[in-house]
Amino acid sequence: MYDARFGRWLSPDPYGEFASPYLGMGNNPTNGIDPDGGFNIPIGTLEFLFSADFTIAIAQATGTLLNEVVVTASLLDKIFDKGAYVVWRLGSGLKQNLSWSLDRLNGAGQIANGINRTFVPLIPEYGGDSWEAETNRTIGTAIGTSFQTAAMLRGGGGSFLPGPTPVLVTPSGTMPLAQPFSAIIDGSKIHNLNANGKKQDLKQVDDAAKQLGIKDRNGFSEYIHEQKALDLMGGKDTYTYQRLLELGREFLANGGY
Amino acid sequence: MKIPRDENNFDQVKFYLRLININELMKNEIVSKFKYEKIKFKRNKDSNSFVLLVELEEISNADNVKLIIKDYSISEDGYGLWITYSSKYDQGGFTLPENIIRLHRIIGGKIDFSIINI
Repeated sequence: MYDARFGRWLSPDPYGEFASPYLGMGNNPTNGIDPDGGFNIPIGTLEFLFSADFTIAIAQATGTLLNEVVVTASLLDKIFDKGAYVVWRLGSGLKQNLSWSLDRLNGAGQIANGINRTFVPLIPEYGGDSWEAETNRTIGTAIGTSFQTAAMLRGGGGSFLPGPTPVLVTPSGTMPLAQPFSAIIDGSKIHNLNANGKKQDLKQVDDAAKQLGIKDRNGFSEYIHEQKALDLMGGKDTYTYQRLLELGREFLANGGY
Repeated sequence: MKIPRDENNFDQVKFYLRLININELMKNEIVSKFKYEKIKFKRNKDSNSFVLLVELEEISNADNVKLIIKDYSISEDGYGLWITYSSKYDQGGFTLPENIIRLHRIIGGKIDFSIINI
């Protein structure tokens, strides 16, 4: 895991590319993202839940569709510094790598008990199935480390999965917010949630359905329409994104698919 | 009501009668009067009253609706049409069917549109 604040890996660079194994990207972080360091993270959805001021900027290296993201150690540090947690959702290919390496970490006692570690089915565009966990700093660090571990043990270079040009995600200062908010990276864009928990872009129902693996979009849509009416909302009123997620879980629990 | 789109897709429009601030006795009686319609209801925790949602598919229940509103002296802001529109397209729309227009002419009340772009 690379810490941008110090220009150092928090764990040894698996490839020993430089004089010090803790030296990241040859002390030249602006010209590289260390594709061999095991920190290229192909994701279906990486959901950050922030508990305080935070903003992130995404810099797209090329015009290609994003499905790889590099999460820097300093980005994670900022999240964990705020007492927040991270929900990881990873495609099936990466899940296998991660599951395997996490098992090794588990065996080494590096992952605390109580981690919410489940495999959840997602729609095919998110990789078929995925690994999901809510992490605190310890676990988040372990996950970051596990990518490097997996890369090292696999003995190969490059990222785990083939994909378009990686995208660099970096912290870029802070943004004052009155209440917690979330940002969701779904492989092609970042959705910022405003202070009221509402997504600031369109297709909230569609995104909630994707996030929960709901295939029956029409059924889910009808469920929301009905709940709005029964909740005494006006036609013009909207649910928060978090409430949509709750309704999605209700929909699934009531036989939706 | 389904509106066909390309590649076997369709937009879905549904029409409901919504009654609010209904007590339990009224709820039970109203539910019994709609024998063939899909009815959903939910208790409002704050007022301990019910919200009823009756899916309207046939004009045959227009008289029924009119009688219910009259019999229970439901005020004009206590009921209305709830019209939902779900579409995969970011452009589209629909024309209100004649039976729904007629129903509203008969019963009055509010009209709410709920629209979801899925």
